[in-house]
Amino acid sequence: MIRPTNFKIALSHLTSRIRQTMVATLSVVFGISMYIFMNGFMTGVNDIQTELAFSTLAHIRIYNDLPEDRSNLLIKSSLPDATLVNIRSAKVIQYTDGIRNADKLIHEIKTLPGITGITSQINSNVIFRNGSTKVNGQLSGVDANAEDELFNISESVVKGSWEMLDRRSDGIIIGEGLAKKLGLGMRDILLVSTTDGTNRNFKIIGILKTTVASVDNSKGFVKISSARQLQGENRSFATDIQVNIEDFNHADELVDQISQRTDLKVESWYDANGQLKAGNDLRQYLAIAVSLTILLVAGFGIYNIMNMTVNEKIKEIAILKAMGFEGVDIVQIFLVQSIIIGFIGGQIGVLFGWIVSSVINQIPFEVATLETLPMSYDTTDYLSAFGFGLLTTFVAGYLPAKKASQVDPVEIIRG
Amino acid sequence: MENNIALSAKSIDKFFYEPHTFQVLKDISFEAKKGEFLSLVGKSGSGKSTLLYVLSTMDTDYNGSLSINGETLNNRSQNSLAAFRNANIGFVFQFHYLLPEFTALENVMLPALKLGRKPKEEIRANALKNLRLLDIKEQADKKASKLSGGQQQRVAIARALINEPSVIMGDEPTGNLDSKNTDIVFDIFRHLAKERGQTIIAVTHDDEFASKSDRVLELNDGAML
Repeated sequence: MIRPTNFKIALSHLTSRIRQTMVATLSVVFGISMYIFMNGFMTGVNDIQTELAFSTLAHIRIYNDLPEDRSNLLIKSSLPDATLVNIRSAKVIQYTDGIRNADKLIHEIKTLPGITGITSQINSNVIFRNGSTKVNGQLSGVDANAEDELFNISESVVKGSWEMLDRRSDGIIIGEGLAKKLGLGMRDILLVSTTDGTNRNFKIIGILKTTVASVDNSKGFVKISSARQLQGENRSFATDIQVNIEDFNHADELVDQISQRTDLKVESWYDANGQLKAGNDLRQYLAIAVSLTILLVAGFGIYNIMNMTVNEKIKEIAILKAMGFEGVDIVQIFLVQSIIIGFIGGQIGVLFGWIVSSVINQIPFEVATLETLPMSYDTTDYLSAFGFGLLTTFVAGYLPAKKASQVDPVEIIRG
Repeated sequence: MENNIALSAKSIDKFFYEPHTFQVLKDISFEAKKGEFLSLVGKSGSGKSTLLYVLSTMDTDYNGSLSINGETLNNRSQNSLAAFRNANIGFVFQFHYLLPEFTALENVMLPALKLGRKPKEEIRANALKNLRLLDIKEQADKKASKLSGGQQQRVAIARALINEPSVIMGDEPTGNLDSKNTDIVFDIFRHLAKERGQTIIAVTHDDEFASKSDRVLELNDGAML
């Protein structure tokens, strides 16, 4: 319990040294607003980064993960230790590529909670040809509607239309860069050669421009049934099943659930793109480290000013102790001051942090899909900034307060 | 008889250890009766102020025993001594040490608010009564920093009286006052001892002040003469 008398003394200290009080408050304002801005900016950058990444990457990918080493036919551990194994000119048997019965699996996964989109794809490396021009690239056989639901790809189509893909089994939509390299435009004919040597002509019915170079420069999309035909596969074949979920940060749980239903490899986006998650995490740590350092500096400012106050008021402290004020009263008097500073500075800091964030958010930054610098306005950032601010001022105020409470009144009064 | 003793000191020894060991108080024993006005005199360095701070319970680094109002005060915690001082001892210092941002009235009320035994309104009324007794009631709402030296000293005395302590201690309470104000302060002490039965112990350099008190204790090189 803070005694009203102590509170009154604390207030008199604050108001009698209004300039120091303001400087201390400003340092809290600065610390907290920078904390908010740094975290908001980093989270904004991360969100944009993630959004860009998910324009080509699904949250969960299911595919047939063939054994890396296909040469070992004998499982060594099943033989006695002393057994010598000698196999010459081993012939590798045919493994099953891709997913044989994709429709059944898709049907099963759709019943799981938290799934927002699912589609099957047939991805293969092909050679795009136009006369003597050859470009290595990837061909993606897709279900136009489902693909668009997952990746919003129709927004990237600059010529023609994405919907046409479902209607024309001889149609292909290719990246802008790829079209340029091949010297082809709309309604031109493009020859696609598979690695097995199958050739087929497609008619260009659309041109894509994403901001992802690997898509723009080397990718073509056709109807999934056309891709099956090209690969000589059956009706339900797919190489990949792509799944989007409500909260991509909880991909792990669904990966576990799906894994129970199939022997195929089920991979979350951050297993597939470790650097994306690592980048996100590192930026977040950096933001926290920088903003905590700023808060620490603000804390030193308060510590300094409170120390000055204690030194200036040391005779007052001595006389209060002589009159019978206990150590805890003195601690209260000085701690209350720094808490008031922290509280007022915190509130202004939260407001100021929001203003700074809004202003930075308006600065033009026209790279990729961005128009202005990204910014996130997360309530938890604002709350934790306020919390850390109070904690800093509390600690920074407590040390001088403790020192004040240990003042020996005799020493001070006798001089 | 026992009941009549306000303060009792027995065999008080005290050493300073810096810069070298030095015995500043040597075997001091005395008693002060209720309502007695004592002056502590002696040359500079005789240990009279040191003795006062031992008696005040603020300095606890001594050997010997001390009791006030029959309560033994050796080996008690700082906080319990602080609470004891608050209720039983009033202080008047050479430099008045008021809180400059507070009004005269608020300064006087402070120790009573800390004690917290009475409602605020009653404390206020008592504080005003004390200020009237010291003839500075009209200054009650002025900031302490705006008062003259003599006025500040009287406010400090009013503050020392607010909890009706049984002992009032002064460290050269008239040290930086002119003769007119010195007389006023002396008369107040006289009045308090006589009418209210409060014990006064004042360290002073002022021989005239000392000679008018009930009893003079003189210290020389840490020993009582």
